[in-house]
Amino acid sequence: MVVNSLNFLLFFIVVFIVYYLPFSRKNPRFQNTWLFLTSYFFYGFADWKMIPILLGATAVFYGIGWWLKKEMNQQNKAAASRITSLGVVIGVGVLLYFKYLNFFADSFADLLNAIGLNVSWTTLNIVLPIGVSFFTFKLISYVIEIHREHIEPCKNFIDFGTYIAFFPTILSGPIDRPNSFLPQLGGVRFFNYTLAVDGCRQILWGMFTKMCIADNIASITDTVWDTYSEQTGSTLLVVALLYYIQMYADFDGYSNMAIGVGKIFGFNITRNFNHPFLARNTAEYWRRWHMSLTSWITDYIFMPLNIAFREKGKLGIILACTINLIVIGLWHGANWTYGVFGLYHGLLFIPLVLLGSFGKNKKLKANSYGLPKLGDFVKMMGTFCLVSLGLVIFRASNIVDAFKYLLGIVSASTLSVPIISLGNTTLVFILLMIVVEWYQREKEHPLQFSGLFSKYRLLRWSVMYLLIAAIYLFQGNQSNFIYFNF
Amino acid sequence: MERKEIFSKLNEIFEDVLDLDETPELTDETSANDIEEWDSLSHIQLIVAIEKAFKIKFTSLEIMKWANVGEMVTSIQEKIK
Amino acid sequence: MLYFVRKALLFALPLIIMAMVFECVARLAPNEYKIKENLLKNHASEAELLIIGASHALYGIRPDMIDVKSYNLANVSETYDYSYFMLLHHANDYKKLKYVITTVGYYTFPYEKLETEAPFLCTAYRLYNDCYYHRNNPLYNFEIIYPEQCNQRIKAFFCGFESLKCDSLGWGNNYQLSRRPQNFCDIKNTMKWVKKHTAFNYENERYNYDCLCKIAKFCKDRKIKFILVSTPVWHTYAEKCNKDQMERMEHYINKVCKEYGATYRDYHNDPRFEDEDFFDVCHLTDNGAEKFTKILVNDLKLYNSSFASS
Repeated sequence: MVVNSLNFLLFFIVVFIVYYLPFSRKNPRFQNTWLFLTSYFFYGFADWKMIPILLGATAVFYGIGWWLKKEMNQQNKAAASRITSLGVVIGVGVLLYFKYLNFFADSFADLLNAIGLNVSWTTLNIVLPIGVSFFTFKLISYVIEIHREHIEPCKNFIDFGTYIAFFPTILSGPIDRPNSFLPQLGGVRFFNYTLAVDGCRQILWGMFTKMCIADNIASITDTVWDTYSEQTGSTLLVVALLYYIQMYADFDGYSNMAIGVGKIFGFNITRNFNHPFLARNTAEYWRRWHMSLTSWITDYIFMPLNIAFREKGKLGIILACTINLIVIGLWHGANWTYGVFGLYHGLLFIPLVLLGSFGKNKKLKANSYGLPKLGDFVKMMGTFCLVSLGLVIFRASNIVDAFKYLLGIVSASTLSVPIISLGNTTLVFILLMIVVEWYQREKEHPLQFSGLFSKYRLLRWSVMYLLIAAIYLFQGNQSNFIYFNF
Repeated sequence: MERKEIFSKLNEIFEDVLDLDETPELTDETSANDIEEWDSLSHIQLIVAIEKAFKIKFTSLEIMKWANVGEMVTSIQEKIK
Repeated sequence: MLYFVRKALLFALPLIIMAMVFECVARLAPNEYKIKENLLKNHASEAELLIIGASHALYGIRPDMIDVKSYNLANVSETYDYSYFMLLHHANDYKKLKYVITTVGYYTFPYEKLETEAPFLCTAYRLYNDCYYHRNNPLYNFEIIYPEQCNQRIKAFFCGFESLKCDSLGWGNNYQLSRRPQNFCDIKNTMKWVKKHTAFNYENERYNYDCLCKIAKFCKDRKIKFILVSTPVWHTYAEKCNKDQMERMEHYINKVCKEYGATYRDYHNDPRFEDEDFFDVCHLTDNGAEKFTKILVNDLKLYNSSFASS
């Protein structure tokens, strides 16, 4: 069930009431057990046939965690490494099997056919378990963190199962690390008024961006993408830029809703976005976009590669970056477009590494008018365009379409007036979002009020009523969250 | 080598590699979160510089285990022995 | 926690009040379902001919052009189960009913259930025609649940009877030639509609056929002449339709005619209809409806003095 649906509301109310019953205060195991059961119910509602896979994988990794710890306690470093590798292989194997087997087989068959060896391969009817990209990553990080001695194996299977299947985040992330999440399962979570209110506001903002911005833009981008060969260059360009906004509004919206729900239950879930529109180069973009995924890949793929290549200086870094980004690309799905998308960003890193501006950026400072400095603004625009073009490759269903679309942008009609039927209200919402993103850039989400708004309840509530009215009156046609496909 | 000596040498290496304005006062608990210039790129540069300075070589696992400077220093101590 | 609940209720209070106001305003607005309900309430006993069905019937058949006392009870997107309800729910009042006409088209049988396709319309039947199908289901008892529909009703409240899209006899009168979109029948648009109307599976056919049979049986039992009609469609649309789906449609129609003595008239490829008669690929303009109704009256001999014999 989708987070912004009536079904979910009913489910949520039931889970909430039972979770905070007075009974739960005296029985510390109760809350986690309840979350475990309801998370599996939630997952089963999406696809009950995949419950054995989720449960099975959880059980296997629970066992591997303890086995690994045992070997480490006995100082068997070689055995410990082997067990960790086993865990990683099983996790990656599950992911590869469900997500990529058909893709590899089809690509391999195509390759053989191309060199004259005719093979026929019946595409297996492999159903993709929903959320597989997310929970396998949680499982793999669990084993690696034990090996790196950053955490202890989870004592209680229910706790571990709750971490893996936690319903707000199982379908589309954020990908929580065991280091930050497991300790939160330790004690009873008493109702935290401030956190819950913050969570509610975050959910509201998420619903607004998803329903009023992403869904409304989607109807335009979908139409233009279906007929891209007939559109003018300027239209294609504007739609490419709009798609970036749509994707952000959609995914950030969902992440905000998931994190907000988590807060209501007393959990601090890892952040997924940090205002990516404000990125001044693509390295900063990747530090602000889908942070739970990029930090996962940085910690478990980029850093080890970087360390292994450390003698090779800048060439080593470039190689590690490129591999890193191709993996990030391919994580999204079984299509060459995702690989090329990753490669595109890898190539964009090369000048940054060579110039040394790849590292952590200086904090964003406003000019005397409270606006971004001109230099920063130009860099933001440039980064915005580069990312949008990359998303064209991401969005296309195959490389040829991506290429044709990009060529279409640089055609004779690039300077003509774009034909976009974006409603005035949607445009206003987009501008509102951009302005709010800038002024609330230090905050986790824009509805963390400060100044006059934190002083006067009337102001705060007016803002929220306006958002609710906007959601009711101007929501776009319900479209599935983009990241449900991954 | 004494921990104090290792710390003072590290202070110099950090100041040099990270191009800091003043010598950092590294402690056992200092981590990347405390120094703005210390990111994944400069982390590798630091490791290369440390390995060169102390004439040691770390394994990947040892490097990835470090949660703070204190653990880094312990690793250096063990390697030097 | 209690403090949170109290604050939440306080916050929700204005929203609940607004929702109630919206609901009331929406329900008070004039709409086509109310018109049809009133027609039945006031005229069921004198009605001699009733037109039921979906938009083809709504826009295509004009009761004012028919000699016998006729009323158009059709609604946009109506499926046969709701047509059956519309016909039946004042059945005790019918004293003079001789004919029932309904339309059948290329996508009539595969059409999805209304609850899936347009649940807000099920709400309309529930609220304004007292439909018993979902009497106790909250999803179909409140306009507020469907924001777009609710907004339209509220706008209609302020526009009054000008916003109504049917005349006093129930015929859909807003498909005027002057309001026809520019590209109404270009090939791209036509193909879009053909694609939209071509089914990928035939799951719903059986259900829709059964509902049609119920209507036919009702008519047979009461000795009412039941007439099935395929209204004219744009020639390109007719050419591009999937032949398989057309054959299945004809098969079902033949079955109904055979089993229940219904009559079928097929005008979908009728050459008498030209450009100006079409509002879009499968709906007629006001002129087209006038022309079509006159042809139908002539063919079925729907004159005051005699019964049709076909």
